[in-house]
Amino acid sequence: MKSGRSGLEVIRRAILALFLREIRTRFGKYQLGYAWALIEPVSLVVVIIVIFSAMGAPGYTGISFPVFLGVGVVSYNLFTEISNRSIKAMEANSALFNYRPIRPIDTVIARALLELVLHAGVLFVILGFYWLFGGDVVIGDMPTLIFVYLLLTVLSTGVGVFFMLLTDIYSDAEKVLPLIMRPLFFISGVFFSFERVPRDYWPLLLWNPLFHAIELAREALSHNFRAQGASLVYLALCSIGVMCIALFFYRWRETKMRLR
Amino acid sequence: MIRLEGVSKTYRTQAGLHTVLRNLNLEIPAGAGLGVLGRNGAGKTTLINIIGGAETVDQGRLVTDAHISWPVGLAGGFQPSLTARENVKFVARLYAEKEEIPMILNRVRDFADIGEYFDMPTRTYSSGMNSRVSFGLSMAFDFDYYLIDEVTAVGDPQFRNKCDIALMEKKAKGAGFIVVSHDMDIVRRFCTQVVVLSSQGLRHFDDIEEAIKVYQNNG
Repeated sequence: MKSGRSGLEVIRRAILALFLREIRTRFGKYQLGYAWALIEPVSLVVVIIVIFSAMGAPGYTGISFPVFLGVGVVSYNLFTEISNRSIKAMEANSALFNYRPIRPIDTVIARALLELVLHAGVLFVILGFYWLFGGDVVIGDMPTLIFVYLLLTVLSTGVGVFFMLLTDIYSDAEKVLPLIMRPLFFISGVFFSFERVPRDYWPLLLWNPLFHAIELAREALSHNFRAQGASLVYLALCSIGVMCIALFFYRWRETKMRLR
Repeated sequence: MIRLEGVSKTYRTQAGLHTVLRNLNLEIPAGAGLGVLGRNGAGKTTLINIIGGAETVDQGRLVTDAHISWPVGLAGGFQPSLTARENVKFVARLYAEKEEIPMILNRVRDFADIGEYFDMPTRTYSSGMNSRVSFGLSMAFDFDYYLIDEVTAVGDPQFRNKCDIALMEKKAKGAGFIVVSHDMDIVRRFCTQVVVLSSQGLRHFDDIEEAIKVYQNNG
């Protein structure tokens, strides 16, 4: 054993070890193993796409409808999965705090990274299938797409950490997040776009960074779909702002938390 | 070296605040064996958890640059759906360099000596098998200090003997020990000094027999 390992190296190792453990625990027990990580969410998204397409949902210029909807559902799922799982991350891993290198926040980060990898995989499998069946798939702006999803991950983790700490103080807080999540599905543009919303109602929706993320990701995956009203700067400010607040809160609470 | 400076720890309970440790000062030199005696609820496990980093202090601080083990034989960190190999790998990733991981896996497998169970989910293990793996895991690393919190000796006499030898080897290599036990033989063998925890605070003894006497008289 070597001593004098730097703080950053300890954190990197802890997160990597937790990440691998989480994958193993969640998918290792099945015959099809890691395939389930993708099969489940992919089939969910496919069902939603089929239903909406059958209902004759309106098309948008510059982007095909399955891509439009796929991006919406995957992004919304990424947000809810990360924030919901973050709340439970510490509690579920509390026995691991006996191992010195692991700090509570590491368990949250490891889970968030796993969700990001899974959902990126889901998105590309869906795009891949659609392309195989002759669909029109373009990756117009890969750097922006990556950046948007990183920011969305930061935002969701920040929200999750915040509610995790709140739950530690008031246990009812964990019931509040799902209450917020459900309406978000309908007001975050999962299945519609700013384009179709009358301008008068924009202020009611524009505050929502998730809406911005979804529209920006669509723009990056289209020929010439325009993310009207959405702003990468606003998404970045929101994500980093929420994360900073969560981290300050965490620093204040870390020593007071009930680890066991 | 491990030093506790003015450490206090209070728990919130439904009956109000409960102070377990109050303004505690303690220094444990490298290679020392410290026995911690006290009645149930005196704060022995809290003290071990603070030294091990599993609990934080309310006041004061813990000063150390030593490698300190998790409580020896701790199996609570095992994920039941994973095999012993996977669980061991997880801990090895935290504490060892990448190229040392195969060696650690071998050490634990040899020590545990549970055959093909090593590659089966730990939820299928008997408590004896569980402690074989978890004890082997603690012994696979060279820590500066080992935390021992009531190793309730499970397993057959042969295995207990094996554990004993492994701990003595660590001691011979110069490792320190912090031992919580109601078994005075273990305290006598591993400790060079003893603290007795009680509601009056902490009393430090260099004479182990004297400490045992005080502890047993106060029951």
